[in-house]
Amino acid sequence: MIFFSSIALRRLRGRTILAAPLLALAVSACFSADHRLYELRLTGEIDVAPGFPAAGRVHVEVHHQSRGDGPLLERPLGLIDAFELPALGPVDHLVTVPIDEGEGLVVYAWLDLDGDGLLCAPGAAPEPSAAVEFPDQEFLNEGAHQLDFALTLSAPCIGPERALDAS
Amino acid sequence: MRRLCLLPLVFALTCAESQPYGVEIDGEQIPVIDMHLHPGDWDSIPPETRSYLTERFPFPFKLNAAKLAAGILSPSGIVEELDAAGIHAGVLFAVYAPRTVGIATNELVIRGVGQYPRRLLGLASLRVDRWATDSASQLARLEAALSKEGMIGIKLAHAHMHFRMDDPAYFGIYELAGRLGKAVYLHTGSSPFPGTSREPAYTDPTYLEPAIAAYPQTIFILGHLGYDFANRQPGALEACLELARRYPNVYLEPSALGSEGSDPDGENFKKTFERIKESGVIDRVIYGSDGPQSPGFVATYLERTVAAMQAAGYTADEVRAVLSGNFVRVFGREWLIQ
Repeated sequence: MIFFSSIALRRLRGRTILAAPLLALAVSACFSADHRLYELRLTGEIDVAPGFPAAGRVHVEVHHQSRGDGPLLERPLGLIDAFELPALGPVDHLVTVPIDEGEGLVVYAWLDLDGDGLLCAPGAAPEPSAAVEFPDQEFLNEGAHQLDFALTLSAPCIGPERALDAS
Repeated sequence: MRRLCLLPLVFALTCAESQPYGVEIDGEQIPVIDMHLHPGDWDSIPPETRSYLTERFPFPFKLNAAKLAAGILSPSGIVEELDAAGIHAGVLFAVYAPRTVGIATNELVIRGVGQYPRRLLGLASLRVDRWATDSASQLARLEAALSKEGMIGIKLAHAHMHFRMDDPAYFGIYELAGRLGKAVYLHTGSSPFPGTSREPAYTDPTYLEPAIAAYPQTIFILGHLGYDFANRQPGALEACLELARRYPNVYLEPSALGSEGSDPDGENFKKTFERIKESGVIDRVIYGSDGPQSPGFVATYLERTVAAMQAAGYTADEVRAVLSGNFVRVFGREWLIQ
């Protein structure tokens, strides 16, 4: 179970947050482990490859690059956060990363050209997507609480599971 | 006192032994094959899903979920559940969904089928989460698993395995199935498990149409009839029925959606069977439960299914088609029900 206070989160922005403070101790029998959350500021730019229209909302997902333990359960990706932007262009978004639940980070995005909220619904025109990965834990380094990225949406109709290969 | 307690048990066991397999409809004994059963290993399920499953186990089983799972998810445990339900045979599913429901390997299924060759068949599966680098080896391993005795098809669940239904990069799986004469079972509809994909491209069978059209020699079995388990609604039922009407290689499977948890009053289940009958596709429905889940679920689900079909006005012949006739027509092996 994840438990944290939004007040504590704001006050400790940019630092590793132990999400089991005093109140959690009072009911510690309910918790099996602490969940450390790290607040990270994502900044960057999302644009589209030539040949695609450049109008529409942008759907963005932030994933761990990998999650799970052992040869069977270790696997790529693990959704952390999803949000929308009104248009292509600059990104400035705070994401809370559960740092013990996975490794690395992936930012995936796609452009909603027809405004239906679906990536490439049946019969719709191709909509571009792309992903960028940060395999190292560099964004967790002390003092590096901001992660800059650039993403050019170029692969039509590709979900996050194949976007890194297709980009 | 102790003797008094044991007497009903002895009586129940004696009665159970005398019960014939199958279900009785209008004085006719109808054989049953359950095409959707999950063997497993508790340690190969992600922790989040283990917690979810534990909460769903009835008391007192939830107190020691790992022990319960070790028994009921074993091939012998599953055969015991089939026996208790009076079901002739079942199909074990391999699963490779490390983000959601975990892993049940092809080897586990093949061992179970080998242990009970007269009672169990199997569906193999494969990992798709590193498709860009290992698709060839995964397909080769899948083909090897399908060459084993009693392995009759492939299990896929796009929502659990996280790949789009319309992504041609994965169509080699359907090509392989058609070439080997094996069916493909696909989970359709949303899923209640933690970590599943809920976007339509992963749940709505409409997105499967390009693959269904491109591989007419491959049988596609649309599992759960597109049920929206997250909201307990029929979801993509009409899309499933439409695909079955339009494509002779599409079959339907009604597991899990009629359970007490997914449809408490049984109304959705009854309406589902009504719509199947109205759509003229009873000959495409292959029965499955999605068991064993918890002790007695396999039997209870069969009872709820028969009740829903009877409430929907199915004849004995139509019930027979759903419970075993369509399975035998697709997969052969009539000896399973003799």
